[in-house]
Amino acid sequence: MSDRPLSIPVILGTARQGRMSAHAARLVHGELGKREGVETQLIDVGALMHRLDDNGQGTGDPAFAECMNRADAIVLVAPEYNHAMPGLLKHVLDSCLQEYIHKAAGIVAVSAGPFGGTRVIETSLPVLRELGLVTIFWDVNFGSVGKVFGEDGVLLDPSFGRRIDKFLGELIWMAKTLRYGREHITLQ
Amino acid sequence: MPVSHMQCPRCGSTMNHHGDKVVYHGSGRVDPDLGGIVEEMHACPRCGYVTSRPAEDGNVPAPAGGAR
Repeated sequence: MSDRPLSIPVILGTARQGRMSAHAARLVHGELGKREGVETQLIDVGALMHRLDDNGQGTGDPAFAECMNRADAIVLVAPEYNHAMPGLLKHVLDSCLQEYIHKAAGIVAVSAGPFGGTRVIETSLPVLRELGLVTIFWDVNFGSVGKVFGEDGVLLDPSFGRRIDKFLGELIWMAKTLRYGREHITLQ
Repeated sequence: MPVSHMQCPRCGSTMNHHGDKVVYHGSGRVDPDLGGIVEEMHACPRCGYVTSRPAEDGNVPAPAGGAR
């Protein structure tokens, strides 16, 4: 087994002003950074240099593609816009393909309403599958997010700590397993 | 199965062919049975770099254009 640290970036999937998802992304990123043997970074889709007059592979931000190449897993922090992920996040994800194959993905869903972003998770799964990512069965659902974080981003509901811990435990297990498979198990 | 192993462009190690995926645009050759270009996915066991290439067998020339 490689002794390289696992690389697990957190992608903040919205550029909307006043986004509460930023609080969720910073929280998960902070917890991930505490894990031994894991290196992480927070990627803001609003800060990437993606072309808007073209799409598909090779049209995106080279730094993002390099980060996805290095990644063993990704965490998507996705608010629910009309039952789906933000268009900008989809645009960014579509700029890579080979970088994702046989890598783990976990979804942190954010919603102003009571359903915790369950619909953005459901509608994201076929997208992630087609990109070659392997989704885990743990999610984090920030429903009624305006009540979960204070205006300063402080977590008001401590129960999320345990949920995030379980989510990250499963994601890291899957990341290790898939890294071993990518690097050592040859397609028959 | 790949005809030859890929060498990692980053560190020179022999890469592992861990997957195939059908894609619908690119410079490869279309597999008449699968309806697209079979892209081999390779990963480096030493540095972790991943890359791909069109499958070396079983494909025929791609049509101009591709999915738009």
